[in-house]
Amino acid sequence: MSTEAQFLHAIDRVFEHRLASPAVDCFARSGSYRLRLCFTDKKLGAEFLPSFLREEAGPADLEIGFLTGAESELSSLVPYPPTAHRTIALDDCFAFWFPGDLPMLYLLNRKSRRALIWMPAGAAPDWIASRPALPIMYAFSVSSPWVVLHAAAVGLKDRFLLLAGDGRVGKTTAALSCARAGWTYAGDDYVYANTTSRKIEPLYCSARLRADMAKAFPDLADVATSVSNSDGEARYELRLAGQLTPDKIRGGSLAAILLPRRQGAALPQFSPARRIDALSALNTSMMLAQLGWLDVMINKAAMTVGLAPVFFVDTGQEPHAIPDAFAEFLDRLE
Amino acid sequence: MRYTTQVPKLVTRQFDDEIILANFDTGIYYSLIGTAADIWLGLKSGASTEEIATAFAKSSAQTVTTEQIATFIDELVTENIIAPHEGNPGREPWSIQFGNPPSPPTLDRFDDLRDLLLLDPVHDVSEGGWPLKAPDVD
Repeated sequence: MSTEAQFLHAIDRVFEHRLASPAVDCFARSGSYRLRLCFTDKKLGAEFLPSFLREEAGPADLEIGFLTGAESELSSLVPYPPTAHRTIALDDCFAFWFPGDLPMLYLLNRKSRRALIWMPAGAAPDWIASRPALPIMYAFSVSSPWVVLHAAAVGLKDRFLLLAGDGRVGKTTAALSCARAGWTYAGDDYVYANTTSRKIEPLYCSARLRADMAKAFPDLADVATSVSNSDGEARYELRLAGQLTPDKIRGGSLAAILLPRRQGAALPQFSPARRIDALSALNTSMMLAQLGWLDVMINKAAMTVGLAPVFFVDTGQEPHAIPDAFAEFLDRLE
Repeated sequence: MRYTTQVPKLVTRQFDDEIILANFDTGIYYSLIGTAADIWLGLKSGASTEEIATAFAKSSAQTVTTEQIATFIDELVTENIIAPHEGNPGREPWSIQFGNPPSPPTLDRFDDLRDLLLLDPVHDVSEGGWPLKAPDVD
């Protein structure tokens, strides 16, 4: 049996047996997709569900099963040696092996619209719980107009600003400042963008706040589920469903792309940027193409930077000044 | 000499006066503005190097020399952004739009994505990239 056939067979087998009566069975919205999320264990549901936007039950676009090594034996599918990242990206089948102390196996049958996330060590790294199933959502949307972007997005009166760039440039600070000021929040880490309709949609209702910025948001830091430390940087892992009302976590139409950069301004300042600057700022998004479909990802990124005007922004030293400055900027765009 | 801008593995987008080209094999991308964008659009229209040089010589951008244009086109060929065209392609209307004020054409090249991809190399995403351990044989 081919590797692909083994993956597809394993997905069907787990859904028909181990996930026939899951311990937790509920629905969520990620982008334009209704997800059915199945957990073999209540503890797993408690770990991952708070990052998802809950949705009413209905026909699912994608079913995702979460299970651990204690509940299902999929070790025969682990690549050898198990210490390296591995990916298979085919028409019907996607698989990704994430090695480490808490390894993860992601499997997707794009045809049957079923996916598995298997954690042989029984748990996932904290930062993965803030963006669960990200590789699956990337692979699932490859053939659609939607693209997963490493960016923040906030909106006022249905007009959204997309903030793209590397870490430590102020995306989360700007997004949380705006969310606290009553803006609509679509994400601080990863969001969906539609490359034809200009729609922005949230993937999750989580946020990842750098510990050194926590003093600006003491109320949020207090409700963090954990403090993660990936890449040597401590971050508060936040679940915002309890902090923002459901109508404040949603998407809208893209009005401008902002590229944050620190240049020492006291208050937020904007300056025109080129499309190529925006494409460069989406480099970290394009790292998702490590999982496959680099051509698709580059094409979608190039389409995205043409959806709206592009500006650099120095978000300044005062987070509380950001919402008003962004609102004035949106007014000037009209 | 005439060239084609239809080359494999290249994504091309024009946004007003800026043209972005991205090679999805290497992850290298490029930006063309001003005179550089005009020359690339001229090549895309089917104009030859000589016709493009003549157009610049007759325009307000006449400070852009034939040698600069030829050197720039050579650079586009080296980067696999254009390729020599076999035969005679059809000509479409073309005129200089962005080369004012005139400046020597430059190719802005960005290889930071390639560097990121090489840092954590793209794996073989076919089945061959997922070796399974052979079952133990007693």
